[in-house]
Amino acid sequence: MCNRFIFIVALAVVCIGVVSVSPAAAQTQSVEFFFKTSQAQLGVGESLEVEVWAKNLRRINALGGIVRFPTELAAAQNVRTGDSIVNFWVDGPRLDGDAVIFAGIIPNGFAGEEGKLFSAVFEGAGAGEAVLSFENLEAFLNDGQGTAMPVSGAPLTLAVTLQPQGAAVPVLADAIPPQPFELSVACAQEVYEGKCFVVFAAQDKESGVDHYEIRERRLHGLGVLKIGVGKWYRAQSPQLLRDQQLKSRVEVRAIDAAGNKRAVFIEPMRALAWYEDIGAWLLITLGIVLFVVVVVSRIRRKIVRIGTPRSDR
Amino acid sequence: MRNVLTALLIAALVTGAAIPVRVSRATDYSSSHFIIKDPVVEFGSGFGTSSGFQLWGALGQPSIGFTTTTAFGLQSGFFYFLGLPAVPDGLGASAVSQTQINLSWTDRSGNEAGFSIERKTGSGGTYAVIATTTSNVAAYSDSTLSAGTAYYYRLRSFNIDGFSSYSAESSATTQSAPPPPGGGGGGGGGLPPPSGTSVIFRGRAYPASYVTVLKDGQIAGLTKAGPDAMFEITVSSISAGIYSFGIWAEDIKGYRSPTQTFITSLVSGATSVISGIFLAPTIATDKTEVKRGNVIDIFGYSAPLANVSVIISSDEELLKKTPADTAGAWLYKFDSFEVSYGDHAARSRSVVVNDISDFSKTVTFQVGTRDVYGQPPTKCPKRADLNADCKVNLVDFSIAAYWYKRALSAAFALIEKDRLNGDGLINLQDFSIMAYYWTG
Repeated sequence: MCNRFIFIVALAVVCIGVVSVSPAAAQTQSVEFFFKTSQAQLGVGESLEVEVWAKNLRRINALGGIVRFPTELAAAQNVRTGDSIVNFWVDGPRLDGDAVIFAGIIPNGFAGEEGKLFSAVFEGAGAGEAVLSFENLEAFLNDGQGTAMPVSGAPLTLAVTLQPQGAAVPVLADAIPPQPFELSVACAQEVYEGKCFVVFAAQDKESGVDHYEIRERRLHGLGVLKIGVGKWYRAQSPQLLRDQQLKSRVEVRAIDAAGNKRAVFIEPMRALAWYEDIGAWLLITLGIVLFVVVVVSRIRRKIVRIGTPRSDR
Repeated sequence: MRNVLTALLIAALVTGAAIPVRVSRATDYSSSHFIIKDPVVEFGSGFGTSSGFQLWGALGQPSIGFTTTTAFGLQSGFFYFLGLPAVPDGLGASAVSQTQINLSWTDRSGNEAGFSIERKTGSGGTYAVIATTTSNVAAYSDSTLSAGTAYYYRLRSFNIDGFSSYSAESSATTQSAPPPPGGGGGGGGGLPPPSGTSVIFRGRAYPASYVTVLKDGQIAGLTKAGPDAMFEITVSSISAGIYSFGIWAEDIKGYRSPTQTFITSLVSGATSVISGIFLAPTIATDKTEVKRGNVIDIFGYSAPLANVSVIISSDEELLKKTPADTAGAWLYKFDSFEVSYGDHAARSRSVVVNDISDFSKTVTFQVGTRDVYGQPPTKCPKRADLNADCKVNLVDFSIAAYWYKRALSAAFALIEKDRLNGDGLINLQDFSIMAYYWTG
């Protein structure tokens, strides 16, 4: 009787073990989001960089969520995306009160198992245990159907103390501008009611792209001697073009978190008409002036000749 | 003589005025059953009546888009055929940077609905549609090209009646040397990236196929595989760091392989080599539905003389094998009697010596009571191509990003329903679908 009981228990344990490691269980392995940091303590007024990672990412092509933090204990100052595995950000990563919101895609799915999504720099604000947690996490499989994967997030507790803890954020030694990127001008009914816009996305492997600026200039002149004026202003892809006649050179520059800049441009889709080109008018004006000068000078010479007595000619 | 001519002219005028042609006005014809609201020209045959009406006109859509699925437009009256639009001429191609060629042409037609632009790489390439414009457009910028490459273009106008003839061909070669600071286009200004850091990709695709390399989701290079399906492509002048590379190929019929992805950490100044790449075969079927007992052709391209395994998903998986020929083409004639009625799927993979490819895309078909020869699978992505340019890339991403967390317009809601997840919103799941169909 006792031996039979032991046998039944052992059989049950074996069965549970088999089910736990069965292929079916492995296929529903959840995507796990977690934090990485050099230390778990910081003093009030000190800064600490906290990285956000995820694992079990093979064949995942889209992920997003929210990082929540208690601003009275540890407040996020800025976000960095350098060396992120995410190629294109749908939203953020951006600060929004007591949260960092993020959502992005990896076209054709991630080929690795785990990777860094972004990092945030936190500053100690008040003594206590600051718990950083995840909310609204999502991850989707690269199967063409947008199949949602199970997700989980491990929180991080930072001990914020009144005494300094030696926490410091390394100075960004980034002297390399963002990588060259391309601009595409498109006019689609689906966006901006059919008006033309420009799309762009740069990568920066060091400190990450911080923001973009755009400038449109109509270039006037002849041959290689062309000039134009225009002001830089903040931009976001897709950026509505101010010159809907597409006669301006469109310039976009990506600025990374360290302030390095990379500017690229696209030539105008359409050329200026001759009467729109200031260079042409300058040429015409020059021609007229020269003509007038020549004519006036000839007239004056004639007048002088008429006034000169025949005997002196 | 002059008098004779004058007399003849007067006679012609009088005769013409005497022909009983009468243009009726609205409501001239009516009955208790119908009223003709549009003018009808009748040649002296009397008034139409309700007991025996005759249709003198016809209803037609005078231009493409006059009637859509969301807006019905009716315009009847004097019926006319648009006729084919005139051929555009004066096509010019001008390379303005390493990656951009600007096209311009003269619009000679007044009745076109738009222009269809085609491109081929090199004089020996095959033309494929790269863009479709709306009417009254005379310029286009092709800006995702490879440096130092000759491209050929042609275009034609179209309307509801069909296409015009092709324009004359025009070609341009993109710039090959990096532009000097402050000049050129596409990458001018700022410091150049550190030199010497590069990555070489080597592997096997399909004979004479075009192989595209994506770097972090954007096209970084394009090459043509040899007749033996082997290819090599170098991506250079990039900075160190971790990159996500993707490679896909298009066979000579225009079918695309799935994208094979790699995560690579590049060291500054070093050249990394990724070799042994073996792209999955392309796959398609000749029918969307096959009568049970009939044969359905499953075919595609792979490396020459590869051993292709075709896996048909049913109640049980069926494994079939067929060899590719010297041109890389393979074909398996599957007897549908082997599976039950219902929906099935097929995919394939190839083996060459000791190399095994990944699985191909999955194609679906139905075993039923009739043969339905479907249209050949479109060369364009089935979904996520929001601007209908046969690509899924940053432009589509930007269009979706514009609508992210916004109420969709009625027009875009139709596009979302047709090409994304159809839930009436743009959310992260839609972007996941887009990321799957990404072509760069």
